[in-house]
Amino acid sequence: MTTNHHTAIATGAAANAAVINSPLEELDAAFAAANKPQFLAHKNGATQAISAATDTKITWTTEVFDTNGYFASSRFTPLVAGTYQFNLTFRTDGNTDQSRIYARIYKNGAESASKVLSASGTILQSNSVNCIAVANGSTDYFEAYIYADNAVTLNGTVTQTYFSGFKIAGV
Amino acid sequence: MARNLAQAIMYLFPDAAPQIDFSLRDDGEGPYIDIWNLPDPQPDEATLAQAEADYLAAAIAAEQARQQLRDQIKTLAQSAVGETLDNLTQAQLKSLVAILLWKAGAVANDLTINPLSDWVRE
Repeated sequence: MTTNHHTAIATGAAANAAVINSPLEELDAAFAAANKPQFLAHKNGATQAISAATDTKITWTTEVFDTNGYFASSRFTPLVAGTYQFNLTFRTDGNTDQSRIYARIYKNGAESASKVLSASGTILQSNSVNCIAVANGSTDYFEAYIYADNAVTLNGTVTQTYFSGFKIAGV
Repeated sequence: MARNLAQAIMYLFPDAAPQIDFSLRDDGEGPYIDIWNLPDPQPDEATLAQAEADYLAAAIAAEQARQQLRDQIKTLAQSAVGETLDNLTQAQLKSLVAILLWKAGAVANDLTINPLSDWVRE
């Protein structure tokens, strides 16, 4: 990129436009591609019954965006190798006082990150977990799971239950 | 409808601890036993289904018993209304105390008294 810039400066007026535009375009392109692939999914209002003491995969009905089409069947399988950040947030209803509720992100079917809260009373609870994980760009996949000591109902409100992820760096 | 697989296992093995003695998982097609660490053999599907039905029947019976007891206590307490203290029967006194305990959060779901630290201010 630096070589092209200097070359453009040395080749006259026509190239001067390139001096101004080319790096900007390159930056634009770089910014546009920098954090892709990326996705954001929610449940579009649909609730999900969660059995007691069972690690349960969260199903997602709606994709807000899925830049490369790598999100399918509630699973993100990026075909671009790199380091990714994932964010899972959800709300549960029908909680039991002192019951533990885990938010979990799975990589290749195994727990990659987990955050627990202890329900205070029986009112709604909200939990979230974030993690950074490396994807090999071919077979690695990521899913969202929930675990609760007692049966709960996963609330499907768009702004309260969602799963997202995006590339933060290449390999 | 969420399945009661954990409760079924706990019904069969009351001392079993979820996530230690066994782990359950649901990848979208219903819950299943993912890890089994108890020395007893892992129960088959028919045994689990029967245990789940037994657990539900026991839970319903327990709830009915609780409701019946609550109704009896309420009726007894109601019968004390208008009576002077020295005229109250033992049963009426007991029912009034029970209602006060309930109000204070002293009574657990299984009708046992909670630890004092849970409902008595220091």
